[in-house]
Amino acid sequence: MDQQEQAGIAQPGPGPLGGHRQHSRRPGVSLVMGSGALLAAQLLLILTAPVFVGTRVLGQVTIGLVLLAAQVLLLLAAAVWYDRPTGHRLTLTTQRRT
Amino acid sequence: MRPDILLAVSPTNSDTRGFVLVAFLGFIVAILFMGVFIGPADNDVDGFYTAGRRGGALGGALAIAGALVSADMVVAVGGFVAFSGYDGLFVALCSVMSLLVLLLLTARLRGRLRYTLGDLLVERAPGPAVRLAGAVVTLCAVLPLLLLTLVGGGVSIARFLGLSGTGAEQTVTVLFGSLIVLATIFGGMRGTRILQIVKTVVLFMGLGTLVFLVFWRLDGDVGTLFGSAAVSNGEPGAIFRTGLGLSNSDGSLSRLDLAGLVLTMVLGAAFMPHVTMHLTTVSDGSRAQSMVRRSIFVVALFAVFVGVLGLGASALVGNETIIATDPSGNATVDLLIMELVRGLSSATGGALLIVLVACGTFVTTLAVVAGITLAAATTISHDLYAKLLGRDRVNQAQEVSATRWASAGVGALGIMLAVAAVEVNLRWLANIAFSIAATCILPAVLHVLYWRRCTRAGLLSMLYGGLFCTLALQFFSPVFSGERAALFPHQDFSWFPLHTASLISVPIAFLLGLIGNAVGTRRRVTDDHGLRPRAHHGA
Repeated sequence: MDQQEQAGIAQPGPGPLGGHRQHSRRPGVSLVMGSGALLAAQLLLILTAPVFVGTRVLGQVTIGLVLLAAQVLLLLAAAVWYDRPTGHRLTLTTQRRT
Repeated sequence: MRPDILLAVSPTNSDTRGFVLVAFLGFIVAILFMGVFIGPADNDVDGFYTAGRRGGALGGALAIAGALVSADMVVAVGGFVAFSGYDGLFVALCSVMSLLVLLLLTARLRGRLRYTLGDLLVERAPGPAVRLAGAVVTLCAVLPLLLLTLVGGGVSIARFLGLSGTGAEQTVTVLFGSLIVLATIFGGMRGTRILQIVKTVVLFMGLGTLVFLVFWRLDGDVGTLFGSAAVSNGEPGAIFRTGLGLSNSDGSLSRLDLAGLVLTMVLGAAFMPHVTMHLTTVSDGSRAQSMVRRSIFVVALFAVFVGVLGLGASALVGNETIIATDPSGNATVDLLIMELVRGLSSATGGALLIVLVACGTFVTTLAVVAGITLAAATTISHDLYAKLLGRDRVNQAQEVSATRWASAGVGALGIMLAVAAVEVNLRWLANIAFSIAATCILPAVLHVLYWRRCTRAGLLSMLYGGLFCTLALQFFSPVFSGERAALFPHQDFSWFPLHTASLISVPIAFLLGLIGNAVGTRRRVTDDHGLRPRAHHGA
């Protein structure tokens, strides 16, 4: 066991939520937040307006299924874009140095 | 489960059974040799726990997907989709959303995660109590999943090999469980990682073939798949409404239950210790992020596959047959496979499909059990043995040796419990495992990474309070009593109406953490005041 651990000394913590401000500018983070908001909206609709979620829009396809499909697309878009700007910035920096 | 019915419709006969058995055993031998020989050559702790942190992002993505998608999850969610359509599809998507939550935390988490949850927690609140709490929560989260996976894998493999009866299922569980534990003991993280990658590829091939055959039987028409599933469900058009899912009672409770299950999966699935430990196999946070991003695509593909299989089972087998075979829906995917094999024109094609599915089931069980056993063994040897009992005086060789013994112990315990519970419906264990991860692990990780006023009291009250709350609510829920598919179906002591506890236990855990932080901060300030005069005296 570490000496500090034995002594019970608390370590200085990271900053509060949003400590890394540069992260919030990434489009991927917005997509992640959008995905979270869509999830919350879907849960809210399921709990409060189940008939609306089950409304058929095309054949057997309901509004709920359309929302699920949108969720999948948003998830994949978030995964694609999440750390792309950082990589892009790194590439630009490297190019400038060379 | 009614194995007599399953065996009656089993497509394996005496001609094909020999071929299936030989091909399957050949696959097992090859996989186990690979797992053992790839393992670490020396007794280096870092090499054993993290594979030297030299893993690539693509391999890591496949390994994370392998750890997240278990055979049990395919079976359970496939059955849920067959019975409740939209609700099941929503749950199938939850694992992907859980990875997105993990992605948000990956960079910071990788920077601070050394080996175990205990390591992460003591960074902010040093002391043996917090490390012990981390170890307790980790073991409580992974051991139920170990038992569930061992039982599910043993029963499924016995069925695919055409073996019937409780004795045969117990024998298969012991044999394969022992082989799997051996692979973990010698393979370490490097072997486990390779097994996860192979598992993902084999499972992808297996599920991909099944999806292809479903569409082949339905003339490649998605509309026919939806329409047939809707007709099979009884009331055309009802399958894609919400509220058909978990509860036998009225729709509003069922929808609340669905919300609880979604919350449990989204907040818990990717934070299971055997999943997060893969973050330590890469060198830095950026590579870990890349790994999680790629795993989202793989798991999303699996979610689509499982959705198609559930709807395909509903369309081709029919919900009446599925319910008659097993009311809990656990036999849904098995029945679909047997239906697809019977639809093939050649016996060889059917036998090959059975071999592929049996190999997929075996390697899936192998990889998941290996990962879970390693996570549990690492916690026991690193947190409990090396740090708490050994007080950091244990050398690397002793710690690796302890991990191997702990793997053997955990595996033996899991096998014994699995043999005893081979006939019991254990689906509720997954609820408990994911609920513990959602209630204790994620809030603790968030506290450690982001909460400036995180204290030892806050972490302890969050971990133990959340754990107690989860276990208590689950015990008094319908998964334990009061329902046909419950652990005690003939008794009813349930007063908590939901099947998962997270809807209540997650807010309670956060609340306990906040209260503990407030109390802990006040006590620390008091201590500071008490210490200063003594320091002055000393000076």
